[in-house]
Amino acid sequence: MAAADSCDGISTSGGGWEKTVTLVSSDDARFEVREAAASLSQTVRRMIRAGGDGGIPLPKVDARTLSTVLEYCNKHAAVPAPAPESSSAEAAAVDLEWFDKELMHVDLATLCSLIRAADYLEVAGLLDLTCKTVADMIKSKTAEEIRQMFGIQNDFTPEEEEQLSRENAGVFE
Amino acid sequence: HKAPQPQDQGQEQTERDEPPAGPTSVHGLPDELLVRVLLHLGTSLHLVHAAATCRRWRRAVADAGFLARFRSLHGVPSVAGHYYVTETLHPNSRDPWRRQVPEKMTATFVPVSPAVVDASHFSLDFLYVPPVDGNRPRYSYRSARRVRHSRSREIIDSRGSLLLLTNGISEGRYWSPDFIVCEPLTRRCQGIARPSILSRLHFLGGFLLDGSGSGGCRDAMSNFRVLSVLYKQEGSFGTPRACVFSPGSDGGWHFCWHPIMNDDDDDDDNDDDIELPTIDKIHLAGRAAGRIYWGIETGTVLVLDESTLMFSVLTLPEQMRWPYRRTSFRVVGGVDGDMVRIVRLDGQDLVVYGQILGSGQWVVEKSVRLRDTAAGLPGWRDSFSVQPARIVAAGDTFVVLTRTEKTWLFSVDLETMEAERRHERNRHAGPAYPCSLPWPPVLQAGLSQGDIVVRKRSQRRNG
Repeated sequence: MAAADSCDGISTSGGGWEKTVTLVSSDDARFEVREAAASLSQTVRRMIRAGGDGGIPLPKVDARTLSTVLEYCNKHAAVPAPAPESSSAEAAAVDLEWFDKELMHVDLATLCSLIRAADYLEVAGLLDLTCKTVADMIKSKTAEEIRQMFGIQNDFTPEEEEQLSRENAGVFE
Repeated sequence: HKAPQPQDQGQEQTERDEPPAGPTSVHGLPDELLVRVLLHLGTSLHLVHAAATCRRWRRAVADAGFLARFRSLHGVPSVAGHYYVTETLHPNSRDPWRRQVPEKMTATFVPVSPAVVDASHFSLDFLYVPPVDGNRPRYSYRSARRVRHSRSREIIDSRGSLLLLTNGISEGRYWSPDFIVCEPLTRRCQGIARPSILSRLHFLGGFLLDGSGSGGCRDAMSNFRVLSVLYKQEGSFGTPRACVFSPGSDGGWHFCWHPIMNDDDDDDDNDDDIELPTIDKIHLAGRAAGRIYWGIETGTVLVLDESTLMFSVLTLPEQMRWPYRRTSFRVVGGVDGDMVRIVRLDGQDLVVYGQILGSGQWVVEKSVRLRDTAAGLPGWRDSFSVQPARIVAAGDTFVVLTRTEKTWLFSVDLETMEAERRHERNRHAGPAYPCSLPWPPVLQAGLSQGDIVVRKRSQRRNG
């Protein structure tokens, strides 16, 4: 087994207590992150195990997206294991929820990049959060409003469109 | 043939400030991630809108695997709202014109959550039949109101996303009606003619049952049954008859001639029908634990098992029999699906009876003096309780009552026995029929044969 310590990308931080790893984005930006945070990504976790040198390359994620992903990971990895029914755990959950909400105040293109990155990096919580955010934007919108918002071309023929609005007439009226 | 890809639309006029449909747009996401987004939509109403966006989204939503995942995540759609049917004739069983059918107004749909479901989605206007063609008024010269379509099409039951209505001029319970089954949201309906050889029987009630088809992925309009309960009069007595309609090519009416069982009858050889009094002494009292109950003015209860279609007669203990009125007796379910409870108005007292497990003995579960519980209601006056109240509607957790002389509705919670007046149900003097969004959503249009092949291929790839 390749021990994590043997990787060049892993150094001991100033305090010497926490391990960090270096992640390299597609545009060659380097991010030094606590291993605990980086390990929220199953992809990174596997790469740490496999070892390597010069940092962990993530060729599918650009620096801007990666920094947001890592912001999420840092926050969520800092949360201690939930101690049920303690008031501090409850407060932490509220705080986390607020943090997630703030993190999702981004434009649609960024959201989509985040979905792809969360999928590639296998950060389950972030993938759920981003998909849910986009779904919330779709909710209570008509098909035409959805097309406009996402720049989707209507590829139904007029006859088909009439058919499909007829088969759910109550919805489209 | 390939559907045009959004990336190819460079030459399209894009005057609006639309985001590019490249890898950074929702439409640019690979199928698997698009599906992840769509799974978060929550209700089938949002799915139907999303599926009308473009072919690719429609394929994704109509996919059987997607619908199964969606259902396991969000469950079967819950009740979207209720159709309230108001009887304009005061529910007074001692009315001198008691044989007259109560006039009914158009049903009003009230959504549970107006933010999600618009009442117009559930409009029944599509059932409207112009008076000249489909609704020849018998007494039009006497009353213009009789030509209204709602007069001849009355909601009598609901199940899931479907409604059961009677069709045609109703002569009350003295003639068995034709039926309509409809799904309001998709505006689909099917007319069902009454069983012709039984057309001269009286009508005890019509009910929607689940279809015999297995699995929850069948379209609702092909996965139901209609139970019609009829009454065959012979002199001053009669016998009940049950028949079941199922849709489809091999469907139709099926008759059930099970002899009626008497709970007290030990004589197994006696398979004679039990005779019921005339139909005006029999009233639908409720439905609970897979059985339908009719109260009878002689103090007994007619019971029909929905799965075996066997009738039986339940004789209640002496203290639960009198006084019997149509508006003082209801059968409801309980928190537990197998539970049957009887709600009775006995003078000033509203009493809930339950059965002891095992022995089946009826015991008083709860009881309250109406004057005591209603005294705090805004607008209540003690003079209201001079005459006994009347039950207008009942559910597993509540009864809706009115004072006798004038419609003044309030309801009593069967858990707390507390009265209240604010709930929506207290605005409608009649029964309420719950209705849900259809499941699975109907998404057949716009998907060509080619789309289905593509879908199968992609399923294989993903699976």
